[in-house]
Amino acid sequence: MVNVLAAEVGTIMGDAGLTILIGLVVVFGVLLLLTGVFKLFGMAMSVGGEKVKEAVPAPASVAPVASVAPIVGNTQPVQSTQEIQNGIPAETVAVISAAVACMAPAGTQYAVRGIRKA
Amino acid sequence: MQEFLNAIIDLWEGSGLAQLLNFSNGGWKNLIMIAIACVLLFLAIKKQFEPLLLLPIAFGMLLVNLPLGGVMDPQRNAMVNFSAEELQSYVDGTYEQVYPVYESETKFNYTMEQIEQINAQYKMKVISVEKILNAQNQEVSVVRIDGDMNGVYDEVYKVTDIDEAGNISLVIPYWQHFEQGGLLWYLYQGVKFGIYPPLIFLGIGAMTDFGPLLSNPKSFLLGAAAQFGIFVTYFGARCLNLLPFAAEWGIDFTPAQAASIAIIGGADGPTAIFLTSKLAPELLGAIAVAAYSYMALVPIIQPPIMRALTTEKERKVVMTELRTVSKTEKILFPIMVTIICVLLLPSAAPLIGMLMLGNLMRESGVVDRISKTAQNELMNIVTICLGVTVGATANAHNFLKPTTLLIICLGLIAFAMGTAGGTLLGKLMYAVTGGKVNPLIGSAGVSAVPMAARVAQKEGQRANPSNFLLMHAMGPNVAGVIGSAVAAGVLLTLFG
Repeated sequence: MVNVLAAEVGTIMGDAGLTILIGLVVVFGVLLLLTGVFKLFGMAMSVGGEKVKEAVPAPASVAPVASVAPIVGNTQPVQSTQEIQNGIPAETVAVISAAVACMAPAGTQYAVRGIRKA
Repeated sequence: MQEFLNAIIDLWEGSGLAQLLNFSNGGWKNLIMIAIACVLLFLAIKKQFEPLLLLPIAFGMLLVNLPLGGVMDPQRNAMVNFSAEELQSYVDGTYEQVYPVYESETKFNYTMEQIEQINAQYKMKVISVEKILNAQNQEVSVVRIDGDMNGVYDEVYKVTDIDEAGNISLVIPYWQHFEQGGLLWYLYQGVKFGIYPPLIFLGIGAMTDFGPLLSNPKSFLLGAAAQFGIFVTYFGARCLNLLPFAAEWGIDFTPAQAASIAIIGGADGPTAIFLTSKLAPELLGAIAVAAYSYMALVPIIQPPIMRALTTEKERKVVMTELRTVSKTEKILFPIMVTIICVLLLPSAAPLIGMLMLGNLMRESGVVDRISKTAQNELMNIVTICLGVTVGATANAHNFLKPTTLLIICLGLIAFAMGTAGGTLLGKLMYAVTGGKVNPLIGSAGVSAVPMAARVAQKEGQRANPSNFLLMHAMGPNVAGVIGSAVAAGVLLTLFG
């Protein structure tokens, strides 16, 4: 009786343990492969992008332009440089700055240093 | 007066309320299920816990537990024997089939004497054994038996063989008569055949931006680690069978049932439903309710585990800005993931394939119209059908069992272990990268999109108000969707 129970316990534990092992190995294996593939892919894309940049100088219209940095804060303004891509209207900058100001705890200073299109 | 009373009594006895109040016939079970459905409706409407799914699930549960409503009654196929005229035309090859015609698989071998004895017993007599040619010019034997029930009942058989000793083999041709099923039973076929979950994945793919994952591919590993809970729970469910009181409580989880319970740990409702409908449809109601309940309770379940496993210093880590991902990468991502995953794990094809198709529609930008349909109209329609029919599987007979409580407990363990697995790998990454990774983002690997990522963001900001982890946590979060689909594929391959 004890032997039968021990055999049953052994069978269930063995099967379940094997399932854990297979499952984790396969899930990690597939996602590790995807990690590697997309890591390489990202590197290839960034290298390709740099080459393109070297070959063709970026047109002036795409380059970030400096503009007045609206400092959002309750007390003192903080000087900073800000990078805003062309094509982003001043109203958008104002709205984003206001949104950041609303989230900020009272008395703290925040500066919007850059806005780029996604 | 007596007739009036009888009519009232008949009406009462035929009402659902009488069935509900008939406690000796299990009416109390329905009352409990109605109460549970009302609690879930309260949570969906008042507390807004995953209302898009919890509301239809709860309403489906309510509908199916109202006696005699019949919304989930299956279509019944009754066998109807041929009349003499139908048989004649059938063997003659001129029978016009309205419904499919079948022949009984069992052959009856009788001697003529036996047939005569049976006929005498049932007051029938053999009129003739004939050999006729059918329309295809084939010789077919027919036994005609005349019933003695006012000429209405004519039993007829098709003779398949008569041997030299005179023994005859008979089969009974019949056509199938369909009794219409309930509305939700027909809608449920989409769950049963695994159609709705992949369609939901199509919509999820069309709504998901995999950019955060692409900009930090290491997030894939966090999505994998969070599937740890699935496999640990599988082990736990199987070990429950060894408890001394297991037989007494009716606990005997098969490997397929244990796998279906364990998938709750993926925190992915459609995946849980997909796998359960294939492996253990009898547990679908309990598993779906548990899966969606825990998804709704992510903000309550995860934070204590995250805080317990991380230090204040780790939670304060501010992660560096993610790189910008190009459009080409985003377009190639779904194609490459589909090829890799489906080649390695074909059983994950329905889920991964639909997820990536939806994402390709979104990122390619050339099918904006159908991308929007997948995100909105299609997703909403399927959500309604899926929710209400999954809720309807939770009838009192199937749901009110000790195993349901165990499933809910095991689901919680699976979910907690998944959160812990992701967080612990996050800690490992924190150590390996010299403190550049905030371990909190690992907890988002449980794929409850975007709730788990929001929880990581909230906990990170709680430790350090200037911390913005949301986009960093979205990477593991969407990786978790892929991870849970892969885990489901593994379990389907092993136990399907």
